[in-house]
Amino acid sequence: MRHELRGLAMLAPLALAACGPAGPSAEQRAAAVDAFATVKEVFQHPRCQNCHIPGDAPLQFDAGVAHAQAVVRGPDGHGAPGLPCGTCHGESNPPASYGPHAPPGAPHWALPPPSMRMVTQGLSAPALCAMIKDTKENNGRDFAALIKHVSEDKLVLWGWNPGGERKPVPVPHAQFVEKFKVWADAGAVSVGVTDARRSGEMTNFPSERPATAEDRAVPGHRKGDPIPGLAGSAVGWNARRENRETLRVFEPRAGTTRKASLVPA
Amino acid sequence: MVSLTINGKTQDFDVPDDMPLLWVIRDVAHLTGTKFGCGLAQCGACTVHLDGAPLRACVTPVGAAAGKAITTIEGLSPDGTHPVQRAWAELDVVQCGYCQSGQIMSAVALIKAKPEPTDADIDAALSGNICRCGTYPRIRAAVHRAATLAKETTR
Amino acid sequence: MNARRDFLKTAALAGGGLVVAFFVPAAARAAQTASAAPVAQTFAPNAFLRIGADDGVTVLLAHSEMGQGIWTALPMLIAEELDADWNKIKVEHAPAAPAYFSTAMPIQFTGGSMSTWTEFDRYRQAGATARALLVQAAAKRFGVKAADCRTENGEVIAGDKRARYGELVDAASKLTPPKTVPLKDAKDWKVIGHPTKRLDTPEKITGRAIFGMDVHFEGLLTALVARSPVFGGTVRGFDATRAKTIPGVRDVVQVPSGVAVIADHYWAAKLGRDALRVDWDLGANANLDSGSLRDDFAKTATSEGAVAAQAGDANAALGKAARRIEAEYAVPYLAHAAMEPLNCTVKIEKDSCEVWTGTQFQTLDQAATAQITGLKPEQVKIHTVFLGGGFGRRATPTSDFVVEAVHVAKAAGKPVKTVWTREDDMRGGYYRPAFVHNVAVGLADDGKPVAWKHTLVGQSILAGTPFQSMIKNGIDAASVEGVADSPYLKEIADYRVDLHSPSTGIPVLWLRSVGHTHTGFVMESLIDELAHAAGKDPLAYRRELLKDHARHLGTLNLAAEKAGWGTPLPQGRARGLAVHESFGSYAAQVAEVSIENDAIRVHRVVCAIDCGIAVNPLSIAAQMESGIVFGISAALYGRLTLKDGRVQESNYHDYRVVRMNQAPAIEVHIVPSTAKSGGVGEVGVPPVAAAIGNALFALTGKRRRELPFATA
Repeated sequence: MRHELRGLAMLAPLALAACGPAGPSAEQRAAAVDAFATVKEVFQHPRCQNCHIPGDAPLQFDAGVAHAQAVVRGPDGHGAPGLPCGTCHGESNPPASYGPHAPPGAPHWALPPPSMRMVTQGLSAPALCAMIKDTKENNGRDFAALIKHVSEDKLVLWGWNPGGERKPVPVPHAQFVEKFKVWADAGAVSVGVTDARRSGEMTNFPSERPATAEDRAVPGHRKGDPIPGLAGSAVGWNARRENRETLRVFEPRAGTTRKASLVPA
Repeated sequence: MVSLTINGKTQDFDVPDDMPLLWVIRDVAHLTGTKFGCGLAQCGACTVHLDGAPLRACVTPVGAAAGKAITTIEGLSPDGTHPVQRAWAELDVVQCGYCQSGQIMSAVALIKAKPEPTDADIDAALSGNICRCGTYPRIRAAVHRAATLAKETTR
Repeated sequence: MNARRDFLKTAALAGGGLVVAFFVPAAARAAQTASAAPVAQTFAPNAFLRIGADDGVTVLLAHSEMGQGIWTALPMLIAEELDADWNKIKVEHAPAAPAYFSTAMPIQFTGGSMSTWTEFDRYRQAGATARALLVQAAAKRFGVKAADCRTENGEVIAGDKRARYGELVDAASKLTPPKTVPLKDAKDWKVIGHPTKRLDTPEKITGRAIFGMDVHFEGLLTALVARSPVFGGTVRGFDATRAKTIPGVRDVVQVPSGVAVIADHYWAAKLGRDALRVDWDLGANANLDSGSLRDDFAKTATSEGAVAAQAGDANAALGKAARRIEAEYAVPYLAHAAMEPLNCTVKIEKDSCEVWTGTQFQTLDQAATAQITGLKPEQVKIHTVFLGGGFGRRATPTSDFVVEAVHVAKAAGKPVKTVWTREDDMRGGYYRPAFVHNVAVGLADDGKPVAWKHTLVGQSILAGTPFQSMIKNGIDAASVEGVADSPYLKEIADYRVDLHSPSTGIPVLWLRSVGHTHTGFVMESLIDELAHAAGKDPLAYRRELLKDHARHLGTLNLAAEKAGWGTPLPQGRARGLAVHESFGSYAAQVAEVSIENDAIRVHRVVCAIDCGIAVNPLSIAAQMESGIVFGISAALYGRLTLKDGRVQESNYHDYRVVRMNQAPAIEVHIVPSTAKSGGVGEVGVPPVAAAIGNALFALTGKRRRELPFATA
């Protein structure tokens, strides 16, 4: 499994058109990096990342624990043959009288299909950024399609109205879409390790890791430990929890034509 | 008033739209083969089919089932001879029996979607149905057997 | 293992007004629903069967079918002696009546894995008596001697003359039953010992089987009861104004356990209860915390308690031992979590009361109902329906769910089915008590134990019930069974088993295999610890210690052989072994485990069972499978926690149980035996947690002394 990342110069035409051949200005870039922090917060909220998972087993609840019925993604994202998501998840959230733990609902309740897994769970900002732009992950969606997805998709919108005692996505939906556009319009700049370090995003050094393996099972505690290099470049490692596959994260130096990569180490 | 078609019979029920389908089936239509186990879609004892797809009746507002074909365990076969039921009898699956209506309805849905299910398919489709008597190994064997019987039946 | 039996004897006596009656055919006949007509259509020679003119043989069960298979096993006993046509057998739960008191104690109940072995003689005799009368009747009709008749497949045959049992009903019912009847020699058995499929399958695969939850008749209402969020809390006051506005809600009444909302159906009652406001006096238990209790228990376990068993001087021997192993083991509170939430339907009339419920305790329920309604026990008719799982929860000394339902129906003045939600059931108390074991074992130079000091701390099931007097010298036998009578201790000169039985306010109860749920885990994990300390293979070590315990050894060897003990396993897997006696039977299990994605995975369990005569091998295998899966749920996930007096778990999402994807492949091997039958229903549970824990030790080198194992 190879995750080729597009460098700046190879970005989607839509984004390029917005910022011109010279690329974003330093100011634009800073705004985009800032906007991406919001994108990340939303993408990695339990309401979103519980289904944007590596492997085939979704998570549930705010704590992101394994989905109790051992349900799986299935051939089209709609669950296993014989146990489609719709068996329990209806077209809308159940009435409040069903209790806070009744399965939530929204139209076409599903996981991303295997062809477009869009794994967000546990990724660092650079890795998440790379993933969103990876056409192998997003099934060739361009930014127009991605913006449409995050703006209009009813299942996405459910994240802001999850029912029960589930925490809704904390960032207002309109603000999230706006930030997503800001980032996209700036050419969907690659958020570098230095950016992430500066914003306090990547602080998870080995010395700060949770002490026990059990704690490390909590989502968010499996970020890589990138080693910063010259001019925003970095190299790091990320592990996929479900199969312990180790991925090498490579973030190229700013301004070079080398591609960022996320490949099996 | 909600009009439901249960096991081919259409009937009006004077119940609110948001009443769970399970309790309309059990307490109003008095078809008690569909069981109440958890009320949260945790255990699968309430599984019925809606237009042929499995559904946990305990978390489905009855309004969502209006106008669709509901099949309960009672409507699976006129005489208990659906291939899944025959396999259940052959393998002596049941113990207390309370979960088995749901197990059978889920198994029927699985074999319909995947006529030759593997063990992994059985894990994926039937882990939503809890059995406290632990009949899982026999259910697994019976699903495989039912798949064979179903093929023989349609041949 | 006799704790429950002893308890029940006393309970029946202490329960007040319970008649100690023995099997009397006349009384038995009176207890039956069918009555004798001038030309008898039914032949009912005793309380346990009746034969109709249509050849149908109806077997009446003195015990409750809750999955364990007595719906099939007890009819097998009758069919064996009756030479019945198996296809003509029908089964019913017997009414509650002295005729159906257990042969072991004067009470009608189901528990202690006792049904089959306590009925082994009585049900065979019932069949043999009926057969003798049918033969007599046929002989008269044929004009031959009874001795010249034989029976086969529901017919009496003499030469070329044949009569179906149905044809002999009238004549046979006019004969006097013989005082004694010979029973078949074991070598002539055609039914007993033969794998026989369940008789309740057809109705359970078609949705026709009626469980308590399914009881319905015209005019029946449904109630949900609001109960205190803290055990022992009481109603200070309530406001039902909003509840009464819910369409379908008929009444709101206070009962001793809370406030009942009575409605046309479950959903209206549920909405009504949601709308109800109750002001609770939480009482003394509002600070209960299971974590603190566990710490308290651990502290208590370091002090001496009431002596449950001892020999020699354990303290002195420990001091002299070459080596000393010390360990603390702990298990949490557990809920039964049967698939069918508790429920009970009650209809009270002027001179009678009818109760429909899935119960394991007919006689106590009948007595309690009589007391509340002011009727005599015989005026209370208990209709036992299928139990959607029992596991002990439907056998409460207080008849809690029956008593409450009777109060509700009484207060309502109408027939009412009181239904518990899953959350009610989970939080309603009556749990397997939490236990802490503190153990010090002294080893000799050869690695064998020579001194054993074992202190248990955990609530007594009987304490705080009306039957507290059953506790002798501070010992509730059900707390220490499996330790105090351990075969390992019998081989040691110096040992001592102490028990502390603290009171906590948490209602506790027997759960499938009772004390063995924890003692099997602790003893067999400890033996594994000792084997490793001695540098010996766990199988070889057990063989040495159990060399004079043939039935332990028999199951141990069979399970080890079938599991391929000592043969290589795929990378990342390991085996663990355990053997435990309970309820008069012996079970050994080998578990194969791995750790996958930080989760414990049990791949395979091989079980050997010695339960003496195996009446229905098919259902014995099923019960081992069942006990193993039940035990894995407890080993991996089961834990009830209390915080601020409130049970934290509520449903299957936070009280996890084994699902299909976690169920191992299970193989069951039955040790051939002609010994008296022992129990089966609970026997598969005790070894499995230890077998898994021992396998995990083999895999990881980490000893797990607390349940549930939960995460790797």
